[in-house]
Amino acid sequence: MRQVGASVPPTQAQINASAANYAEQMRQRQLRQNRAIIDEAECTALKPVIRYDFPSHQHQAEADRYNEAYTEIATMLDHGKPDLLRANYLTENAYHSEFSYSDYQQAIGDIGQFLNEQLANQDVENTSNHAKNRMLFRFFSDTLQSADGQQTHYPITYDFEDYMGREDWSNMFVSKVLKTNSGQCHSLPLLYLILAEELGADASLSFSPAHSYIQFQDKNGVWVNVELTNNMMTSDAFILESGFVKAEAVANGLYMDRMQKSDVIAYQLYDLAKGYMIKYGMDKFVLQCLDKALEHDPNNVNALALKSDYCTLLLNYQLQQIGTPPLEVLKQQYPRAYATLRQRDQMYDMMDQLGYEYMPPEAYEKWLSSLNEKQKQEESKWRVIQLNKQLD
Amino acid sequence: MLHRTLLLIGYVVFPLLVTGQVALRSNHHRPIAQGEQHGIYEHVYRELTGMLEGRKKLDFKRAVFLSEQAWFDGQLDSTAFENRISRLVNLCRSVKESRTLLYDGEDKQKMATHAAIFSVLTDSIPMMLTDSSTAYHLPFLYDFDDVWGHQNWSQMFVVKLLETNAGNCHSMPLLYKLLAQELGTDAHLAYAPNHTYIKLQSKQFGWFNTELTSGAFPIDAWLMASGFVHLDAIRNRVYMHPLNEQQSLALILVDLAKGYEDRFGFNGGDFQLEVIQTALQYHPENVNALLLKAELLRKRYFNQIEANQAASVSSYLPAQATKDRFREMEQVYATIHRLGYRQMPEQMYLDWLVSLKTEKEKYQNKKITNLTKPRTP
Repeated sequence: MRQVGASVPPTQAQINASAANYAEQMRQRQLRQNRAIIDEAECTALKPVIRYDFPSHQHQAEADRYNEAYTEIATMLDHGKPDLLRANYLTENAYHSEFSYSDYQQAIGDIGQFLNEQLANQDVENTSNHAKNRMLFRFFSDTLQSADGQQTHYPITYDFEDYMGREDWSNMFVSKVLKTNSGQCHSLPLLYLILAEELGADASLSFSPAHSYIQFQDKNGVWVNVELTNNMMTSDAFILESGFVKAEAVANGLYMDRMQKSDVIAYQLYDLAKGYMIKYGMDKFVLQCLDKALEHDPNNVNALALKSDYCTLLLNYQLQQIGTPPLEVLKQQYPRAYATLRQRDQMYDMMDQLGYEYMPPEAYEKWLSSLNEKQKQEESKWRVIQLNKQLD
Repeated sequence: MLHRTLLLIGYVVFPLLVTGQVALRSNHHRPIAQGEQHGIYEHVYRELTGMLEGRKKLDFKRAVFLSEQAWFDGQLDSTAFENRISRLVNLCRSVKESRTLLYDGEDKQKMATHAAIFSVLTDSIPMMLTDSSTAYHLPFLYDFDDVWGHQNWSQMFVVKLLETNAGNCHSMPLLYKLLAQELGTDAHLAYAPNHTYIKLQSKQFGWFNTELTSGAFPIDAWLMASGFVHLDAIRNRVYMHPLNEQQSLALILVDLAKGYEDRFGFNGGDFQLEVIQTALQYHPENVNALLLKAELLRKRYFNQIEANQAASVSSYLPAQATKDRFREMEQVYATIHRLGYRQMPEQMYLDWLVSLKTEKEKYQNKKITNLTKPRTP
């Protein structure tokens, strides 16, 4: 047992000194803590918060229609149940809701009925695939009258005013063609395909630079190109003359490929993404649509090009906040932005490898208007005559 | 538009370049037995197969030389060939160093190398020699005589191109590719109907075409507009597809088989068929290999019929052999057609080739120029 009082009790001076020492320690600790707080505050003040994603537009009015459209179209793709009429309606309706789906079905059904009546009443053969396609071609290019003379349908014209949808994106829509009997190289082929399904005809969508058109097989199984903007049957040479078709693009199925039904549905997801982007702006939803489209159709040139744009814009968005530091600094201090840069470069490389080349609007206009050349017009007339002959 | 640049070459001397005449075939042609001639072909075939299988180092320059060497019974002067090539390689290097290519891509160095090769092959280059006189390197020209080598198969050869400074759409791209190899960069051969050309990839332009026969960079539309390129041929990568290293060697094997046939005739077709089969193994869409195969099988088929007529008519076996041979041949022709090949008459080919020069406005890739500025030392 320790003896109480064995150690010498502290003197008053010692007690005072110890208290002072303790106080000093406390003060030092407080100083250190303050300094740490200040340092941390300074650090965050020097490095502002970088937003690596576009601000989301999901909260905007009617954005829900886009989400619902995406879900339904993605399900079509994942379950292998393509329904072009429905997918097209969802895409256009998400942009602006004008009428119901049943109204849309009614409108298309009416045209289908009209065309079937025309087919039934024509003298020549009317049940084969190329007969039906010829009827569809006539719907776009001819004046047709119903049997009772009550309805007249006039040829569908090309909308020169806003063929890129820059004034109003809905000028690209199938519904616009139904309302105004005029369209352009995006809406007309889609309408053709929708009506082909009504008639039970086989026809394929094809892309060329900044353009889409229709292909179908004639009686001899030879593929025919239908250029709906000018109601002509064109040659492959015409498409190649655009000057922006590289052999790689053809070999990789970017251009002049005959797309499957599922490919066209995937293309509708691209349309959905583009409509969303125009209505609200870029955000993750756009990328989600494009990635799903590319999952089912990896060579969809439009989806690839828009995704490439997305990566470019995202990088620019990030760099605007960071400033544009040298590459090494970016790599070390902003790894997420560096990853975006790498992704953008990879997209560009992939596009190059696939043979993609951007076609400027002036070049496109010049190429499309070359259809008016007399020789092409004559060749097209000859092809139409050959097609008519096959029905005899 | 190509600038002429004055090169200051202090230390490299080009004694023979002014005349461009270098004897590549040795002056003594010693007669050799046919067996030995055939043996040389066998040896070259084994060398090339070795390269294809990765047992030997893949050397395109050597492959080209060997295939031509076989036709000359092994009597080409390889030292003279090497010298000529290395002089051209040095010239390319000097040209590259003397100027800066007006090009902004990341792969500036690679493009500058290609621009130099292009200039050396298609342009006159003045050079200042050590004694301050000027010598001119002359461009290689297109030889319109016997473009398919029907009269003389060696028209197709790189050694002929080097010796006479004139070649054709077969030899000129081969020379380009082997110079590129020596300069440490890659260049791809590509087929078009009756034609070969060079395809390169640039960071700025993507894939683009280099046409040495007319010194231009045509857009793909020119090649596809020749009228004999069926779109299926493009889809199936028969035409306009950049060949990789093994596919390029397959091209050389086709040359070897054709050279053999030229030297010895059909001769049963066994050697040629073996060579072609190997080529097709590495390049199944090689339409020239398929065409040669079809032709060989056709000869075999008709030989079989003749043999049948000589033998007894009633026996079953010869008839079966004939049927098999016919079917074999038919399959190859069917494949060729399915791939999208359509035969192009020779005169049309020449007309098309000339059209690039006459319709440059329409077909030239306007983004690609060979513009340079002199590099200040």
